[in-house]
This record gives sequence, C-alpha cells and structure tokens, in this order.
Amino acid sequence: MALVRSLNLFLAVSLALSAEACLRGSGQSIDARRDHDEQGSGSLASQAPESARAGAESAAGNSAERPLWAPQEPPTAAWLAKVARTLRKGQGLSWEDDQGQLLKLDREQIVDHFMEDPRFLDTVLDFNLYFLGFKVNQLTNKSLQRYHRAAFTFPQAIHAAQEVGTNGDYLSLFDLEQPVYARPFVEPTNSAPLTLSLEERRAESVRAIRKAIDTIEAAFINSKGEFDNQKGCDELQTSAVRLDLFVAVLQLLPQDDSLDSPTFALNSLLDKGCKGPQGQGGAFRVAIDAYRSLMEGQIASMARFDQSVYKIKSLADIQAFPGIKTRELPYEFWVEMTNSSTNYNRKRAAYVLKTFFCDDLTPINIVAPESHASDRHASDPSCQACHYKLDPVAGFFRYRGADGLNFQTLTTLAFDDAARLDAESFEGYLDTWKASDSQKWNVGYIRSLTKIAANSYETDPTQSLAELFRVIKAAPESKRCLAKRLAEYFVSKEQVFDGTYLEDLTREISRPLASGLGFKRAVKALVLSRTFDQKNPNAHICYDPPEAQAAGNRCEISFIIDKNCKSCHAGGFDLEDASVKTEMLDRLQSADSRQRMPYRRDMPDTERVTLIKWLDENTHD
Amino acid sequence: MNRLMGGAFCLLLMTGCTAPDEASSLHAGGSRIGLFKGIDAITEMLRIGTIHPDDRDNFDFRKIVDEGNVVDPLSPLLGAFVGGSGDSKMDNDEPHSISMMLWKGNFEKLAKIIALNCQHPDAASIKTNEIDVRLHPRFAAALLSSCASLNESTEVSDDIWNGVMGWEAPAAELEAWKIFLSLNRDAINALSAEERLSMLLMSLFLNPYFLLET
Ligand code: HEC
Ligand code: HEC
Repeated sequence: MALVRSLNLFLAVSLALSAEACLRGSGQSIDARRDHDEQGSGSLASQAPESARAGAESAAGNSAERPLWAPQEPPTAAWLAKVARTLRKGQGLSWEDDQGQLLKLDREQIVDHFMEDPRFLDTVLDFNLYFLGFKVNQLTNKSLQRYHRAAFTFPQAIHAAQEVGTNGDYLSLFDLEQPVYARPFVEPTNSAPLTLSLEERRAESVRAIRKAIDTIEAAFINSKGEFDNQKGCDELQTSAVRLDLFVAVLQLLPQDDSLDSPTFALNSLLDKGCKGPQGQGGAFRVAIDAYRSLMEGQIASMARFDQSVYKIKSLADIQAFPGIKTRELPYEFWVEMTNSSTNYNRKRAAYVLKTFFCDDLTPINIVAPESHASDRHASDPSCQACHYKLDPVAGFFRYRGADGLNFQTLTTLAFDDAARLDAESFEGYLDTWKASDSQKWNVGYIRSLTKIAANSYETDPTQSLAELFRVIKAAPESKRCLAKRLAEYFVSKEQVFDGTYLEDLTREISRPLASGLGFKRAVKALVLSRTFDQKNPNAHICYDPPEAQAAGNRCEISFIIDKNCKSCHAGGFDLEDASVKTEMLDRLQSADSRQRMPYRRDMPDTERVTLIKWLDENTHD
Repeated sequence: MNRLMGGAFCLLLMTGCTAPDEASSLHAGGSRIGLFKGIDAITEMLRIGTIHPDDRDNFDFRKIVDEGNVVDPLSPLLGAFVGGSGDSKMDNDEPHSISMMLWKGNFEKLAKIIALNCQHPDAASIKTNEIDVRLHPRFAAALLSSCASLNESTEVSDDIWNGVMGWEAPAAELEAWKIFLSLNRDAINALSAEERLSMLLMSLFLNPYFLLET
C-alpha cells in the first residue's frame, strides 16, 4: 500500500502528471490511529482524567452542567504538535520540546503545559486583535517594544490578554476605559543638536511640551487679561498650535501614535475651552490644568520607561502609565472608520454589529411594526432589513466627526469628507436619531421592533461612546459572538459548531470576574474537542459534544429550532420532507406578521439567517 | 534536475491537494483548508525547525522574499493579513498559478542559500544582505550529511523532514517521501551537492502539509 502511494507520489512529482495523482500522493487516507500507535503512548488509561471531571463540575458550580470536554484518549504525536502550534502562536513543536516526556502526560496536562508558556498570552493577544478586526502580521518582532504597535494602539487587546494571564477579567476586552500602555522611551527626535546629551535633548522636548501648553493657555486670555473663547478657539483650531503640541509629544515618546490619551485630553480641552459662555474660563482652566498634569505625568514617567530599564520580553512585562486611562477608541479606528456627510456613521455601526455581535447584516425580510410606521427609516422595508438595527447603533457615534473628534459640546460638526454642519443643520442631522413620537433618542442595540423592552438603548446621551460599550458588554450576544470567534480562531473558520456547545463556551467566558479563567477553559475545551482532533473534518458536521454528530449536518440548526420553534412546534419538523422545508422557508421569510414564524415572536437575525441559509441549501438537493 | 523539480507543477495543478470528495465539501463551506498558511506562519515553521534557537528572532522569510524590494514588497502576496482594516482577513491565500510561481521562486532562493553550506558545513547559516542566522545544529547536520551523496539513514531523513515539516504531517507522508527519495536515488546523486540539497529542501517546501492549511 505504502509503495503504491509513494509510486503515485513519484509519478506526480517527477512527471507532473495530473492534479489527481497529487491528491492521492498527499497522504489523505492515513489511518488516524497510526501515528498514535507509533508513539507508544497507548498504555495510558483512557479514562477521563480526574481534573477533567473535577474541573468541569466545580467551575460550573452546577453539577447539572455538561462537562466541557469528553473523556480524553491518550495524546497522539500529531495532536501534540497541533496543540503546540495553536497555543504558542504558530510555533509548533521544536527540537527543544521533550516530546517523549510530553506524550507521557494526558491531554489535559499537555494543554495546561502549553498554556503556561508565555507564547500562549501572545496567542490571546493575537486573538483579541483578530476579534477586534485589527489582526496584524508579525505581532511579535525584534523591535524594542517587542509587540506590533497595533497592540499598543488597542489597549483592550493587551489588557484582556494580561487578565487571562492573571486569571482576572477577560471581559475587560469590552471596556471603553483602558490603561495606556507605555512603550520603551528612546531618544527624542527633536531638533536639538545631536551633540547634546540624551538628557539635554529630552529636556528640550519637555520644554517644547510645556511651551505648547502655555501657548494654548495664553491664546485664551486676551490683552486685557480676560478669558476670550473666540480668540482662544481660533488659535486652538488652527492646526499649527495643535500640531506643535503633537510634535512635542511625539518627540518625547518613541512612536508615532502611542498616546491616545493626551490626544483626547486635548480634544476635551478644545471642547471645554470653546464651549461655555463667553468670558467664563472656569471649565477651560480645569481642563488645561488637567492636561498639564497629564503631560507632567508623562514627563515624570520618562525615567521609569526608559529603554535602559523598561524591557519588554513578554506580554506580562508591558506596563501602563500610572494614573492615566483612555476613554476613547484609538485614532487608528477612526481613521479606518471614516464618516461622511451622507454615511451618517453607518460604516462605524456596521463594524460594531459585525465585530461585537457577529451580525454581518445579511438582508432578510422584516415585519415593520404598525406603530412605528411613520418612522422615517421604516419607509422602505427592504432597506429596513438592515437599517432598523444599523442606524440606531450609528447613533452612538452621532457626535463624532472627522478623526473621531467629539463635537457634542460644539455647535458644528466636521465630517471626514470635509463637509461641515452649521448649528441648524447639526440639529437636523441629530434628528435622524430622534424617535418620531418623543424627544428620546432612538439610539441603541435593537433586538425587536415590537418589544421595545427587549432592546438596549443608550441611557446617558452625554456619554454616547461609553454607553455603546456598556451595551456591548452587557449583551449576551457579544459573548456568544466571542465564543463563535474563539471556535473559528482555535479550530477552524468555517466549521459549524453545535449551538448548545457554543452556549457552553459562552457560559464559561461570561463568568463575572472569572472570565479570564473561563476564557482558558473555553480554549482548553476547544483544543480538547473532537473537532480539533478530526482529520479532514466535514465542515457541516458537529463533532462536539459527541452526541451532536448523530444529527449529521442538521446540528447547525437543531439548536436554533429548539430555541425558537419548539415551544409551539413541540414535535419539531420533518426535515426529510422537502415540502416542509419549503414551507419553513416561506414562513421564516414572510413579511406578513400572521404568516411569519416564529409566530409573533422575535428571533435573532443571525439565527434566522443561519436557518434560512441551511434550508435553502438543503431543499434543492 | 528539471524532472525532479516537476514537483512544483504538482502544486501548480492542484486545487488544494485534498481528496476530491472532501475538497468539494470543505471548499463549499469556505474552509481555510487548502489555502496558503501565509508568509508569517511559514516563517514560524522555518524558525522553529531550521534556525538556531538563539537566532530565531533574526530570521524572517519576508526578508528573503522582499530583499532589495522595499518599495513594493512581494511578501504580502504570499498570504498576509490586511492590518488596520476593521476586518481580520487574510489576503492572497488562494493558491493559483501566479502565487505558486512566487512561492516556488522564493523557496528556490532560500533552498539555494541553505545549500551553499556544503562549502562550510561547520558554520552552517543563512546569510543574505539582510539576514545572518545560524542553522539549527541538528537540522544542519542531517541536511549537510547529503552533501557528498544522498544520506538515507532513518535518523537523517527524519531530522530533515521534522526540521522543515514539523511534527504535524501524517507519518505516512514521511514514508512516502523516503520512498520517493530512494526510488530516485541515482538521479539525485547525479546532481551536484548544492543541487541535491536544494532538491531535498524543495521537495519539502512544496509539500501541501508544509505550505497549505490541512
Ligand atoms: C444588507 C444590509 C443593507 C440593506 C438592505 C440596505 N443597507 Fe444601506 N447600508 C448598509 C450598510 C452596512 C451601510 C454602511 C456601509 C459603509 O459605509 O461601510 C449602509 C449605508 C447606507 C447609506 C449611507 C451611504 C454613504 O456612505 O453615503 C445610505 C444612504 C443607505 N445605506 C441607504 C439605504 C437604502 C435607501 C436602502 C434600501 C434601498 C438600504 N440602504 C438598504 C446596509 C444595508
Ligand atoms: C409562538 C408559537 C410559535 C412559534 C414559536 C413558532 N410557530 Fe410556527 N406556527 C405557529 C402557529 C400558531 C402556526 C399555525 C398558523 C398558520 O397556519 O397560519 C404555525 C405554523 C407554522 C408552519 C406551517 C406548517 C405547520 O407546521 O403548521 C411552519 C412551517 C412553521 N410554523 C414553522 C415555524 C418555525 C420554523 C418556527 C421557529 C423558527 C416556528 N414555526 C415557531 C406558532 C408558532
């Protein structure tokens, strides 16, 4: 047999005969047991390791909960190698790993072993960036800061990964307020002559920063010593002053964009200084004092974060600036998620729905509720299919103009496309998100057009962005989405997973305050899963939990039917019968509320779409 | 030589090198199986198996691919993430004739650099204008033992194989490779030392288990 195969390989390689020969030559039909036996590890008991049962039950705190992983077979060499690669950020087994020793451990111990490796936290960091939609190439590199600057740009990614390391709160990934992580300070690149010492050149940067702040402050005080908004704002708005300041900041810090926090502190300075009654400088004074102390804090940190003492070797080494938090999305986000005078933040909203709710806005019919028929967005049902949920999320960004600048306290708003709203048109623009029948904002995460109570609305209009992240963090959908992405990342992108299995993972990562531990358990479950160990898995079959496999390719939808239909259709549906499937398709897509299923109830769009797609694909064959 | 290098065409012809029945179902689902692992995953594999542990950070396959090509680097064409887009998506991961030519060309470049070590086996390294790293001693010893003629001892074959392929590929795939070598022993030994080593490396670099998601 081996000879035949290799002959095929030989033929394929040397004669380049055909793709088919290659297919056979690539060793697809290997007996799964083979490498396993070769490793001679078969003597280990195949009973469930103690810790599996204990872990599954105790962490669940409820013995009724299903164990997260089935009893484990002894490890195989190929599985070991795959786990190493998966948990060590692409670095599979190497010559330094004692494979013989490792294969004496049971699978759970092996997973624990690799999770202790610092590269596991790199993997978590990589996953976090993947989840946020900003995964990069070469996350770790030889540079001074060790990690790609994207990681520093999205502090939530570093934060949540560090929390996994300390078994803390992984769900800090969903917080808007984040630490500001420092990168090692290198030599300033200011215009001071290179003949000066490093200290002198640094001192020069410090002087430049202080001077820039003084310039701004001075601009708000007119020649009579009074506070003058107009004059100060004009000065502030001219990019020259702002640029001066930024340049000064950049000279102090090693990289171009490491400090979101001062940037936005400056914005708030802008707001406070420019808004407010003419002549009253109190708010401005508070703001500029805060800004000054922020920058003084940076200056004071210079010694602590100097490259000679602050060395980043692994994720745990990354430290945050003391006493500073950012309450902003990074500049990189705003640059990518531009807004225009016609887009009305919809691009940003689509990002939020896709990233945090796994809703990629597949259009499906919706039933426009009678009571809201006059709503301006409800005019065309085919547009509503997406916009009923898109626009209210866009509303969270309504005060954010070009580059994410906050215009809430101003009477104007500038878009990225250089269009500008005056006071009147600003009002009109904001009306987009005013509910027609009240003065309330129609801003929130919309689950239902009929049951308003099911939706998560913004409650504090002065904190729109913070409100968005509050809603995201509270929503069960965001954790479900996280579990889905985890399965994608650690197992396979298009593999279907049983709904109850994903619910189990979701429960783990949702554990309040123990989400770091839960995250590890969820990842552990995934690499211990049957799906992970499957050679040539069929992407449409669920292998976990073990009993799900019997459902064949129905596993993808059986959970959805159980959840959304069983309460009325206790007997389920005969999915062998094509006419039943056609009827289901009709009922799921009907825009007539008397026909549409589930009958007068809501069903998450993502689940409806999955069910419709499945029925569609399985009706015609 | 040409005849042996025909292996590349096997890949050029393939649509993923998975068995036909599975290939259809998997591709229907948009699975990553059969797609390129991407340039950074390949760098990691090479680092771990072929580079000296202390020099790993200094090796980057991109630097081979992009050498002297700063303005318009080709490496993103070999499967890379589109950073900063709000969408964590890998680009250029579909095997097609152009991308295969690129991979093949760059692997040949790397293979030739490594093969040069027959001239100084005691200081086996990868040296270019931008890279200077030592080879992993165990991998180097195994590989360079074929400088004179093909060394088919089990340990040597295993070490060369594992150095490049890692430990994830099915054991039968390794068997097939060994048999392929022994069947072609005469042809392989007729090659020059450097051609022989290049050929050995290329037969691994173009293996789907190395290059593609499986
Ligand atoms: C499949 C979901 C979907 C449907 C259906 C849909 N939209 Fe949109 N719409 C979007 C998304 C997503 C965006 C944001 C796109 C972006 O900017 O990235 C958008 C953006 C827009 C914009 C802003 C365009 C701009 O950038 O200037 C307008 C206006 C708009 N949609 C109107 C409509 C109208 C009118 C209809 C019905 C004819 C409709 N949409 C149907 C999803 C949808
Ligand atoms: C709240 C109860 C309820 C839920 C939940 C519900 N249905 Fe129904 N369903 C009904 C009622 C009542 C009818 C009969 C109404 C009619 O024939 O117009 C019906 C009829 C149907 C029919 C027509 C054929 C038949 O079996 O009677 C289909 C198909 C159907 N439902 C599918 C679904 C699907 C799929 C779901 C889940 C996504 C679902 N239903 C959820 C109440 C429900």
